[in-house]
Amino acid sequence: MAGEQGAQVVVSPPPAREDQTNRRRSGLGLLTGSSELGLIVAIVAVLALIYLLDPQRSFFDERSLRTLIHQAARFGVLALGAAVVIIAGGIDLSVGSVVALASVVSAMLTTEWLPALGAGSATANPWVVPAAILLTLALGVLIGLAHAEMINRLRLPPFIATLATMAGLRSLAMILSNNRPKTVNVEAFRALGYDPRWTISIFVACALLAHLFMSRTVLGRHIYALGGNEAAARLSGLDPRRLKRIVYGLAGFLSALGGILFTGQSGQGQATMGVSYELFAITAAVVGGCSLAGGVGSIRGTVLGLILIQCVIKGTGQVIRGIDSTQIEGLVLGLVVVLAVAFNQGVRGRRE
Amino acid sequence: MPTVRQQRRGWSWVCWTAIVAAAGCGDAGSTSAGGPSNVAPTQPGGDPIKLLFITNSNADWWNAVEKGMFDGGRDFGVAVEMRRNEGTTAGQIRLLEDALSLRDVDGIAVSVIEAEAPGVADAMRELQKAGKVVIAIDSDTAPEFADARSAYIGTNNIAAGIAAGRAAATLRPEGGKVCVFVGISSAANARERKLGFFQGAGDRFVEAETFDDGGDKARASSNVDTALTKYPDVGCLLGLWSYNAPRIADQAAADPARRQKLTIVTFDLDELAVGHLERGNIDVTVCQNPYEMGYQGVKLLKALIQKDEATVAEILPDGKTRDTGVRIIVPSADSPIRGDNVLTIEEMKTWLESKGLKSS
Repeated sequence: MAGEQGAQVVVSPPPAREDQTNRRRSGLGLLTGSSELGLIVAIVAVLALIYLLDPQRSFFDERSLRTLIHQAARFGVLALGAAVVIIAGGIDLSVGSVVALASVVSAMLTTEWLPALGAGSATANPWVVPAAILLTLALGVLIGLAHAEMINRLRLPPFIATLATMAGLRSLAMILSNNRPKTVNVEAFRALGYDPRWTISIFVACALLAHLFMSRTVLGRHIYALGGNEAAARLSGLDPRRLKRIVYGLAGFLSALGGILFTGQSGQGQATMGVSYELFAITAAVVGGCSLAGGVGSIRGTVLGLILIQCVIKGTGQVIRGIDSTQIEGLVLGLVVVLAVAFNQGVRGRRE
Repeated sequence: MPTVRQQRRGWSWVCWTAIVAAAGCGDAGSTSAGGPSNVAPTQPGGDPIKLLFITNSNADWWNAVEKGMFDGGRDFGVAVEMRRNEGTTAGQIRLLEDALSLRDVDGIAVSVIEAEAPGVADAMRELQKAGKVVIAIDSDTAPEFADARSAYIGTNNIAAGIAAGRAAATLRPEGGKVCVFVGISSAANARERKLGFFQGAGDRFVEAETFDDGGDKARASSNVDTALTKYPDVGCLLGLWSYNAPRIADQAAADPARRQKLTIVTFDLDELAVGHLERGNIDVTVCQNPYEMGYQGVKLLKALIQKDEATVAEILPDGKTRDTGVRIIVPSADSPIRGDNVLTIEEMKTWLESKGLKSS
């Protein structure tokens, strides 16, 4: 309890397991013992298999790879938020619905609401698009803070809190848009999600910042500690409520950013956008080594997990004729979640 | 030990991927239709021609397009494949982006899910830049994105809507409130059919509300239920997409007394709607010719790829569009609706059987 902290003896939080792993690395271990080595091997193996099985080698076309990386970048923004939440011992099922709401809100801010408030059209006034984006991101943060408050004050499990908003936020998006797509044919807005240079730059910047935040800051270590053992973290003097506000706020921010990017890609804000995107995000984090029990995982691993999943989905759709990637992705994601979690559970069980 | 753990994870991935890839690396789903000799014609470059059809939804209606596509593939000696979008704009963009990677695909026919979605038009332009021929089928782009496709094959949806509106006016001269049901009301074909309907029906018909279901059939049913509850005085139920027809008929037939007061007008002939027409649960349906869209789509794409200008001119009288026409299907010869293109459901079933179809 936050109110009890004054009576606790403040000690150093337990070191994150990723940090413990890093401490054991030295010399050759830096080359061979990298925690993400397995994922890199798997990515290389998948690419090699695609190369061997696709006689046309069309997977490796410049256009094909650009599309793959562009797609991975859009989903990657969502996966970063999911990873931070999972490391903190939580779960966020509302990602897809936040994407939908952010899509509708950003499109309506750009084309209807801000112009109606006297800001002028988005093409005439260069501040309309940045304002719409900032307001949408702020909405994402607010949704994340609402999740944290539901978990902290109402003592709802994260699963239930975010399940509720998963349903509610999409409904809100439908009401706001009246089930109509909202076209945003504004270049400054669309470029973020349509132009690979922008999308990939945004994702790389987010990934770097998230990596530095989680691995190089005290706050990041506290989040690992929270996920590893919340009771121990509390006894160590940490404030779990504050940490959850930060974690869910960050996840909401990233989900809203994802919504903006996907809207830029399609050129329309839609309440139907983002269905099952939480599955993509959570799967990338889990495959990247994040334990659903919390306290374990990394941003680097999540990025590698994301790349691996995207390669497998696109590659499988490419190699198996007559099946496209949208058909196979559910099967791939489902199998991947089962295999990755079962593998982690097996390893953990043997250790114990 | 992290090293062992990571290595195990890596090997599990390698094994899994090998299983998946090995299980399906064959050409299992490829729908080569190279004719009796199975020798497809080639492009000037020497590769056999392959065409891809990308749908806007996964409705049964596309089965008839697919049959026409296969028959066209057989008759014109090209390989054809259909990829069905699950009903979202993002899904269609994914399919279009995937097509960029399919080096063996020379031509693509797209049923544009959102006429005004710049993202769909951009993806179609990317395909054109990659040297592929792109046409729109069934549902066209908005006029400002017309450069994203070489031609459009499909129904003149405004004319189809007018035909539906005139049929409604014949059946219900007093007019009334109209509830409209559709997957995505902003799709070009939906907008045009609705516009045409109210033009053809006249001023006595007024729109009560349009219900979107986003391609969700369960929601399509519940929308009808909602409309009947929300508008007790509704006179006409209009289903704009094929799968709306049986959902409207199901709900309306559940209350025979209410059914007597309703005029039910739909588009196309979903397999589930055939029985409803036979039983009189649907008063009239304006039926497109999806078989012809598939067949002519293959013929046109092949001609465009091979720069066969004579065939292109034959298919596209105005150089850009081909109207595949409509037929008006009524439950029986007792219907007051008359015209050259009016068929009873029995006559339509005979035509369907001749083409090996169950819907149209």
